[in-house]
Amino acid sequence: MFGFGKKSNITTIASPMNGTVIPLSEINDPVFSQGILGPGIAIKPESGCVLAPCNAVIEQMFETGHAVSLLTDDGLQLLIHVGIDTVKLKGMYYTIVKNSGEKVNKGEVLMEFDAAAISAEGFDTVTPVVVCNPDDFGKLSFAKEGTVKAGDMLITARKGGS
Amino acid sequence: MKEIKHIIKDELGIHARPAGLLVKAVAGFSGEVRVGTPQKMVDGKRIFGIMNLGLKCGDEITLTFDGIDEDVTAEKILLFLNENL
Repeated sequence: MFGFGKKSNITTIASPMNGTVIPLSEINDPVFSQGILGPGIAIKPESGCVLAPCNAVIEQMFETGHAVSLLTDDGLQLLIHVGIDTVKLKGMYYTIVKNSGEKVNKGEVLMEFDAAAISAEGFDTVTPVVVCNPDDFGKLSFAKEGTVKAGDMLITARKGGS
Repeated sequence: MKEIKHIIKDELGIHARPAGLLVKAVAGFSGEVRVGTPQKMVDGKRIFGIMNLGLKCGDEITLTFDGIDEDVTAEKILLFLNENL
């Protein structure tokens, strides 16, 4: 932590979008709110763009574009799921920019979505960002509730287990 | 070891939600669970791997159970798969 050239043992995940941070527990979907997919946080999006939250490899860009899983350079497994139950849209209103297997740098556009159209179809656009392998890390910390900009700190994880 | 097979009937395949539900269903089993296809088998207790198999409707998945209560667990999971996937 001190001195130059020393690698930090903290992994930082940035917000993939502009919006408002809310706790995962407020999501109206038990798979997320009960943490079945892992601990995390959610964002009510105010932009229609999902940016890479850190340097990572895209493990899977779902062909419907509604979700993307990333393996970060630090080995953290992250799922960004745009909207609730939006798999049912079968790709409508989502535009895939990056594909499975691609290496991405923080800030690169992964996919775009039309939030107004998704809402108009009756879907909640709230976007959970969850850590699928919390056991491989120590304590996770999340951004406070409230406004967040793409690139702001969203999740920090201490490497190497607890 | 006990092995079961199932053809996915959910038209949306195994996306985030079913992967989560499957992991939750096998969580109580103390032994080892592997899930996948002849091409790739992954740890049945880890969501990321299952989700990233990208399994679709019509795909046949294989699950193997190795440990105490493997027969009972395999039966329970087969029921779960028939009801949910």
